[in-house]
Amino acid sequence: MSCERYQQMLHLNRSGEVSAEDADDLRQHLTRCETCSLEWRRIQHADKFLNPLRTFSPALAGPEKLTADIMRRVREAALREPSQSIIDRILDFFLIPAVRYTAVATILGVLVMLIFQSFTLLNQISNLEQRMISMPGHRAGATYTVRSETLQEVTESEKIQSFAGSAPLMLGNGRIQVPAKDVDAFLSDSNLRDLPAIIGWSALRIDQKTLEKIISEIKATAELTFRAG
Amino acid sequence: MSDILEPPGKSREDAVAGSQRGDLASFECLVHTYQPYAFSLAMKFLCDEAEAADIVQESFLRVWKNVNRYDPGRKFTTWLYRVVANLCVDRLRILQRKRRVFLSADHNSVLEDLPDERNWETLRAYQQLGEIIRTISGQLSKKQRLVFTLRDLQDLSVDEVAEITGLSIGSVKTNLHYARRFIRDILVRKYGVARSDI
Repeated sequence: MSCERYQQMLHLNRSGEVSAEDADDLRQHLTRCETCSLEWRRIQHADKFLNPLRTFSPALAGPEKLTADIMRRVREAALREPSQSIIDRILDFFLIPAVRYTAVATILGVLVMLIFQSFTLLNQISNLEQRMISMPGHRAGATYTVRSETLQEVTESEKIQSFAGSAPLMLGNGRIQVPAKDVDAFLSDSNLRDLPAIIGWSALRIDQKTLEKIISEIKATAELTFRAG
Repeated sequence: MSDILEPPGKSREDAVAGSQRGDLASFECLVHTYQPYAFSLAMKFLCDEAEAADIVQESFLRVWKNVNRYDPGRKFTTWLYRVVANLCVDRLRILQRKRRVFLSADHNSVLEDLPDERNWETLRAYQQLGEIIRTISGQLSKKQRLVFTLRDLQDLSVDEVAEITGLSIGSVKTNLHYARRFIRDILVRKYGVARSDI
């Protein structure tokens, strides 16, 4: 520690201003440092003059008059105070520390409860969704529909044939209905590329580019219908 | 002087609670008890009896208007001192602007204003000490002057000074160190260090 720091501590020489540890350190330093020791003596000398100032205890000759003056001004102020509205009274009520702390604690409690309930509710919804998805019959009876305008344009409706294979489809006005259980299989790329074969080449005579367009439209509507459930 | 902390008056808590309900008699008890403390601080800071008395009136008026904001869990004097200290600093600023309180331009003028008498035991007269305080603290910054007044003249703890001024403990000690070093330097220059002192 530098002498500057020690001398700063010397000036903080009243009780409670320097820790006991620092005070011990300072005492040891004073035994071996002449500069700080001289500064300490200067401080002690100055304090002979400073100490009497600490005993300075001013008091008014007539404190009762001051009290009376204060109370007169307070009474005037009390009279000038407009009668408080109910809102002001409520707000003043909350200025009382005990009420304020209780109110803050209550608000925090309600917030915590609301957050907890929100999480519980979200969890319950999530569980419900999981249960619905995992139910064997959830998709079994449902049928989803996708639509392709291009498909509608190129198909000859009278030649449409129902497909009775593993992914039964029904085609009409560019719409394809897919049983829910076959949705994933239907949307696979390989299956969609077999679309002309599935619905019959006689009904669907298209080139590769048109087929790509149809697949794109089916996928787009599938995103909206199948995925949304 | 009767003390509200003792019978037959009210306890401080009762007086504060009564004041918070708008009871003037309860507030008068508070004024009666704590007015000397407020005056003492204002006088030590401003060294002017009329100004100090005015500050005390302003302080209690402010206390009355804000008594509902007082937390009974805290020391009433600390809260009161805070109000008094803020008003004193504002008043000193106004007085300095009006030049009613003259800030010494340099050390030499401070040295001239101090009494030549080396034995201060004879200078314990009320006004003389006040004049000396005013002289030696005249060149301190407002913050240093406030910290010095609260700690050294009003004899409050460092923690209380920190609470009243809103400064950190470290900042209180730093300001105290600068204030004391300045004042001690002035005193040593004025009265010297006798060989017997060393």
